[in-house]
Amino acid sequence: MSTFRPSAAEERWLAVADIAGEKAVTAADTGGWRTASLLPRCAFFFLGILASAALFGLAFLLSSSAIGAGLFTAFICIGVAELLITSKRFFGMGFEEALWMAGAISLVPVFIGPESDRPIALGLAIAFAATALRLVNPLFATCALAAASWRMSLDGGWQAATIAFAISTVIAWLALKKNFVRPSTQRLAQWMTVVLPLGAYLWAKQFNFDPWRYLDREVTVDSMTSFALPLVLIGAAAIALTLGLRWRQHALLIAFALCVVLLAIELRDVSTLTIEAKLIVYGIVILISSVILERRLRRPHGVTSLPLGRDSDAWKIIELGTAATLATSSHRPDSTPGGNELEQGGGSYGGAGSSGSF
Amino acid sequence: MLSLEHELHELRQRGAIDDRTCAELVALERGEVFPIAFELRAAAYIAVAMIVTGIGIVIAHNLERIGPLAIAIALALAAAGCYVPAIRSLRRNEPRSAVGEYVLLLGALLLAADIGFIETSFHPLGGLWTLHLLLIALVHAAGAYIFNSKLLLSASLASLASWFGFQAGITSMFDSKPASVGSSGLAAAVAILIWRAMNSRHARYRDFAGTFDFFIANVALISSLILATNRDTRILGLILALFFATAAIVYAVHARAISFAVYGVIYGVIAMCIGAAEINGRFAGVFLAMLISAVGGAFVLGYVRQLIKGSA
Repeated sequence: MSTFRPSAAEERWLAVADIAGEKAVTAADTGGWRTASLLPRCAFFFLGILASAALFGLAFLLSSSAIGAGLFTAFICIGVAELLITSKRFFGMGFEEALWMAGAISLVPVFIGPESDRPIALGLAIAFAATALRLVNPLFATCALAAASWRMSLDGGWQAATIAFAISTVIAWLALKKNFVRPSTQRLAQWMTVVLPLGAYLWAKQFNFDPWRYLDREVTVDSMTSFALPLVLIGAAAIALTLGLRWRQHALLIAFALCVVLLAIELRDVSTLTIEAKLIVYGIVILISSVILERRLRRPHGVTSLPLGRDSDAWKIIELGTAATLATSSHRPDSTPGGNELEQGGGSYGGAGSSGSF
Repeated sequence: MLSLEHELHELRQRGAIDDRTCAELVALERGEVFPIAFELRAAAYIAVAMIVTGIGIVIAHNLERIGPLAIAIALALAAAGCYVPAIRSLRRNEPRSAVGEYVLLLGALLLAADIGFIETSFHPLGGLWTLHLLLIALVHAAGAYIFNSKLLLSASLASLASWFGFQAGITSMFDSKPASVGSSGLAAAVAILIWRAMNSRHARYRDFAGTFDFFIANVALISSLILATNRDTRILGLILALFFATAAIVYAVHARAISFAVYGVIYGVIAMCIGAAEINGRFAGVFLAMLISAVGGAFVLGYVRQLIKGSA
């Protein structure tokens, strides 16, 4: 029985409890490790962040020193988080994750001055990376990547960053074929499958990166960005969809959807349709495609549209909340009789969700 | 790829899961079955949001060119078209799919847009123009009961809350008094509570209880916190927020629904922080209260979670 983190076998039993129900699995299987579902985990995380911020604020007020407050907060937060992990056997509970992350970030002012962005970015990247490594948490790994990207961008390292992200995307996609022993490692690979291509795109766009410029110097940057990126995105979308369906990986399907969205952004000027016409046409296309797929795939085997597995509480709440959001439009005083009935840039009609802030 | 097949077979041998459940889960692990229902639902939601937003802009930009009557008729036809699959399923006594549910929601939203547009363009309700929101809430509610749809019920409850807001003279969150926003929200919560009580008499619609409870808890708690942000109603708002937070936690234990414990704890902690800022204006006191309430909230949530798991 491990105390530092769950063993691979214990982690697998935790994953089994998630799909087969907690009652099916005994504490002996999981080694007594405790984990929380999405909604309580988010709540615990919020409370952990609140507690850490309050502790830092209190320490800063008492010591009048950011470095002292940072050291104190880091010591307490990481200490309590480690205590919760090793003695209470918390794994993905949210609270210990928030404390560990806040503790690591509190150390940033200890080692760097506030004047320069470079050490701050590097410090944040190291803090998030350390948290991600300790907790095997893909969200913190993503934050570490974002901070590292910020640091690299300050030196104009866009070319290297885009290539690095693009190559890492390929590796992450191929890694999904690997037979993972730990569910947490697989989750990390799945997150990276979605995050890395987005990172590669953002790098390419933010700095107007053109990978073909170095292959054919005759072509200008403008014409290349209008051709190369959409082609790459089309290829990436096709590969992600094919591999996702073949390897049964939802993460690759999300990566496919992401590539399609990015492609739509890239090709926005190809069509002369207005933004509202595009929204309606694309929306109808997506809806009809969903209906057709849903009907065609009603089968008990293979790729199926039948709702299998458990619906999480978080999804039910999101579904109700989003329906309510769509149903509630913004109401303005000039929609009263006698007022200016219609506003430019968006209506204010009940139920349409046309709030005018497009 | 990770496979938990070995562990699932072990569970079956122990008798923790039956043969059928094991076979279903193993098929998922092997990839013999690959459900994409979640992806289709997400796509349908995004599509509905895009269409509704696009139509909102079209109406605003093209009123003069197309004309109000043509727009009203077009919206009504589009809405009717979206209701057709749901009516067909109802007549055949077939369950609606998740994507079908979103098509129905789109129809309801288009119908609501049409009602709102007609009121804005032709003013049939005159001085009682805010009643169109109540009418929309009623139309959605009728749809929810006819088609047994939680999404339409959710849309109806949101429209009802909007109507209460307009009755209190609220035009937007940012140019209204917190006291009127908060009190109208509380009135909406009471109205939803009464509706829930009436609904619980009908066995066929007992599934709606969760949707009602979600709205009652959130509308009441948010309204209380809004009252707490106003100097004149701060104490009342804080007392109500703590009362509703406690009620939500008690309900969570009773109904074994962890989501209500989450609402109760999070809103309760926010209320405690506002209260601390009111009582002790100094930063040190506020930070101390934040620390105590956050740690206390985590303990309460952890304890309730254990209670719910223990009684499951």
